[in-house]
Amino acid sequence: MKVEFLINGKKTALNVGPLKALVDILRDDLAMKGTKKGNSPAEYGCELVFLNGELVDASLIPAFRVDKGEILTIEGIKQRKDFPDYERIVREVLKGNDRLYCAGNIVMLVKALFMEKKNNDIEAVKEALSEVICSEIGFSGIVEGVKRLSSLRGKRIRG
Amino acid sequence: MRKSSRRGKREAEIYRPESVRELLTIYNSNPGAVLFAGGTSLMAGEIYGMESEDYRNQRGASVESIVSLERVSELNRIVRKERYLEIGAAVPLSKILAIGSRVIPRALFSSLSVVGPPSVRNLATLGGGLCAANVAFSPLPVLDVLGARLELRSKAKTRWLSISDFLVEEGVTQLSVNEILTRIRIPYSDWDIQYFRRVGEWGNPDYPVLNFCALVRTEKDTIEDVKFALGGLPEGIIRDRKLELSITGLKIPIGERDKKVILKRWEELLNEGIGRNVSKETGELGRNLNYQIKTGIKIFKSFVEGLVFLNYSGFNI
Repeated sequence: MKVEFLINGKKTALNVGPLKALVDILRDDLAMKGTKKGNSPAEYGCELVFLNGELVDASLIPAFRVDKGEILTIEGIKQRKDFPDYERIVREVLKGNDRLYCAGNIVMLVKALFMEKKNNDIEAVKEALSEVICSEIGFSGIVEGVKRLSSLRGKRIRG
Repeated sequence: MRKSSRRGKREAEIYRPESVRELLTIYNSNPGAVLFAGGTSLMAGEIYGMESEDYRNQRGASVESIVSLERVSELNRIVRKERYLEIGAAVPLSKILAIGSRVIPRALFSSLSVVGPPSVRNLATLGGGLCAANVAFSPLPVLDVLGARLELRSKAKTRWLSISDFLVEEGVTQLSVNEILTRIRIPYSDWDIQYFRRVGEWGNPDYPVLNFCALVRTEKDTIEDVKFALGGLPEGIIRDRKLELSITGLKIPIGERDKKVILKRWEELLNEGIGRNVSKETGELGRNLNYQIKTGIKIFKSFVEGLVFLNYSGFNI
């Protein structure tokens, strides 16, 4: 079927099977490898994208559902002005190793927290970040990183 | 029907109805169609019981038509009435949770909160979870004790079923051909204690999931009403109204003699319920069922013994 969508602000049209997962469309058809793929769907929270403004698991989204939709991937977030803020958190918690498999997903999760204005809700932060299962990262480090970013942004707004 | 551009295979036809009436007409003329609400079970291959990687490679190969429920307005709304809350079958779990635990019964709120991470709850729906009939779906025992009713509609008729009548066993429901689940009606009721506990890990065969829910109404230190159910077992929901009634009227803390009788009956109930399968199943499945019996007994024991603390703290989830 023909699907048309906006991806990172760019109009795209493709011919794909209606049940092909978005993660496969991104990686195979669009060569966007920033969204990682787990061994099985919804595994380790490593297939995160924004679809129409909501954080979703790209392995659970079929092609027909993205038709006329708007997708934001890690590649799109990297082009945004606020990306250095998220990048800093990831660098801090991954101790400079931001090439780890989970790095992009941490960015997506933190971005979602700020978009939903849940960045000051510690329980929401903990719950959201529990989605990333990675032996390399310290859980409390990310929570602290989100706190620091919230306070930094608050200062910027207040001047 | 459209044809796929690849390998000459026929491609699934997608329907996007906007009303239940339109949906029923489409479903009636395509009885083999797959209803797609959140699609989490379908996309993860759970419905077809296939290994996920194999499923990914040939996903949709046998599906002829898909009916997306995303635009059916009646299925995507939540209605709050004085006596009940009504949730459309295709409302994502995150939208239900967004109403807040002051409106949704606390036990239901807790049971929905443990379904996957937020990125899955933005997609998964209550109706989808019920129709997939995965006995590990955490809201099942909660909806049962809350007295939830499910509306099933076809072109010919509408009927309402309780959760325990709807769910026959793992993977099997009472849904007939051409019938769809449209809404879930949850009556409001005051409970002093709403207790929900989940153990195990979804998809981990070594730690199968069990969900236990109990609702208790007390008058001072006396149990006025109590309801409890256990979900996660292959046979569906374990609940015994007689046992519930035998606890009604007892003082908190429950005396040792009564406690012994109650726990013994619960143990018998689990063994009766699961026992038939245990005798049939060997190896890993048999071990898991034994594990589930033992764990189910422990959960209930900790609830009965913890009642005194739960009563003083108002409620505890």
